[in-house]
Formats: sequence, structure tokens, C-alpha cells
Amino acid sequence: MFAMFRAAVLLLCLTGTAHAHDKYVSMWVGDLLIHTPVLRVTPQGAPVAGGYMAVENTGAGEEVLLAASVDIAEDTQIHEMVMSGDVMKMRAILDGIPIAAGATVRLEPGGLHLMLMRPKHALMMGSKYNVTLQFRNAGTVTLPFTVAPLKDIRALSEGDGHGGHDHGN
Amino acid sequence: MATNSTKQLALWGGAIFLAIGAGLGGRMVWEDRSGNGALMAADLGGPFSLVTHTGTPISEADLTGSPSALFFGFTHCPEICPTTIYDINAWLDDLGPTGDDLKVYFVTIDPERDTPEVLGDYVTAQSDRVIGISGPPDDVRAMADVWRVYYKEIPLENDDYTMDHTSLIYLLDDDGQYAELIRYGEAQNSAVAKLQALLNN
Repeated sequence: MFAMFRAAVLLLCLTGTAHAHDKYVSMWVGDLLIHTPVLRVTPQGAPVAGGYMAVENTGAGEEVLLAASVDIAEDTQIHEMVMSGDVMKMRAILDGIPIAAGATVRLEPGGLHLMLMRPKHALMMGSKYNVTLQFRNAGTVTLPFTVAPLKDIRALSEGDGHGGHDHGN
Repeated sequence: MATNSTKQLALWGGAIFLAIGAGLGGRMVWEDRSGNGALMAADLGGPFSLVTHTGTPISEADLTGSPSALFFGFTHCPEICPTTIYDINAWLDDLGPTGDDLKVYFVTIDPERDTPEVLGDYVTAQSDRVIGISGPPDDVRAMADVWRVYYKEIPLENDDYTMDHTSLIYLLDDDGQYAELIRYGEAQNSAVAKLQALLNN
């Protein structure tokens, strides 16, 4: 349980420049570095909410994000949005998101995301909610996600080289 | 729902090729991937009789008199629909008073869940410009069909479902005729330029 959760908090932007990154932190979970875990601000009554982060696997083996849960939502699923021409398609990811050794997988608007079903109330900017993530190897960990506006989440996605990109071959 | 799947226009699920340029005017050209790739031209739009999120009746006649932006989505949509509303708000900010004449309509393609009341709560929380359109499910789907909008119900776990759907924003002139479109994710300056052209016509 929590013994499996060894987290260290570090500032994402060591340069201290005024990027959207500065407001959000990254956390270690075993060999995984979770960058900028955020939930998108929702209007009152919104039946769903999106959650985003980047997961960097610094370990030697493949990791898999199997599931997520949040107290304030009835159910939390992992979804992927893809564009097929001009048609938006949404799919539930049922067998998890693989994260190869050395790779970073980004959950971001327009792609993979956590889908919170029927949140109990609107998600207000700056609030924090604990999200439990279940990884195949790192186990189950709980960490705070900060509620952020789309503008900030987009800026995080665009990134500035702090682990947000997949340094694959 | 079976009724949905029978009504899907699988035809429109393929890539859509918009021929931009001289001579085509307000017509769109679609590629029918299910056939031999022959291009078909189709006029977009047609009669409909639905209600806005305040319960006011609305028909194709109400799309005349001022230019409008028309898009289709649903409230159980964490990504593209709130993002589209967010982007439209930003474009309207950019346009300033020029944009005051633009009407913005958000038509649900999930009328079973998106009653006018549900839709009203959803759009008014995000924008004071977006007008939601819903109504009897068959009538709502008929409007999506005449706008060549693809929609399909996708089952999720726990009896939930989501919707695949066309993400285009149609721009209509003040005669209610299709004039231009804005794609999901289109750059702000491009979208604003298209709206300016529409509003200055």
C-alpha cells in the first residue's frame, strides 16, 4: 500500500522561468516519474472530467498503467481520443497503457486521458484531489492532481523539454 | 442502441475532403470511401424543428438574419466539446465587437441524455454565447443527418456509453447557407480570419 509509495517532490522547472510548469510538481513513484498530474476545470454539472499527466519510466523494464480511481468520481476509466479524419472517436483502454523502459507516455487533451465519470461536484481551479493509480510493477499509488484550466494544460502538453517528450529511438 | 446504429451514416465515417477553391461556392465535396472513390457534392443543411436550451423552438429559418457557427457534440464529452467551446470563446474575444453578430449553436448528438435542461446547464456554465439545441431524439438525429454529421454510440464499462462524432464547426452566412468550416485544433489566427471573413460579408 503506502509502503509501496515512495514519492519525492521536486520542482519541474529548475530554471525558475514563469512557465505554466512552475505551478505543478512532479513526483517519483518507484522508477516512475509522474509529471504535472492535473485535472481539467469543469463547469457545474459537467457529467465527466478529464485527467492528464506524463509518466516517465526511468526503470529497466516495461511498466503498465492499469487503472485509476478518484473518490469524487463514480468511476474512473482510461480513454483515448483519436481523430479519424474529422470524426472524433473515443475508446476505453481496457488492458492498460504500456510505458516502455526509458519512455515517457503523455496523457493530454486530444489523446490518452483519465476519464472521471459523474464527478460529485464541479472541479474548481487550484483544488487538489487524490488520484490512485495502479501500475503493474510499481503497484498502487495515490498522489494529488491539481485542477487546472485548459490553457495551462495545453502549455504543459506543449512542454519545454522537461521530460514531456518521448525520447525514443 | 440499435436505433442509433441503423441510423449511422457510415458513409461519412471516412475521410472528408473539402474542395476549397473557385467554383465550388457553398458546396462540399465528400469522398465516399465505401464506393469507388467517386466524389459526390452535397448541399449541407435542411429543415429542422427543435428547441434551444431555454425551450424556445428553433428551425432552419432561425439560422438566417445573422451569420452563425454550428457544431455538434454532447455533454458527456471530456475533451473535444468543452475544448471547442473554450476555443470559440477565445475567438470571440479576439474578434471583439465584430463578433457580436455571430450566433453560436451547439447541437447535441446524444439527445437521450442531453435534454434542453441538461444542455443548458452545460453551455451556460462555459459561455454566454453558445446556444444549445436539443429535442426529440429522432428529430435531433435528423438534423445531424442533414448536416452530414457522423455519430455513433460506443459502449463503455458499467453501462456507460460515449459518442464518436464529427468535430467540424460549420460557418453559415446570414442566409443560413454553409460558407466555410473550422476544424478541431485549427490555429487561432486561421479560425479568427475565417470568422472575420464571414462577419464582413
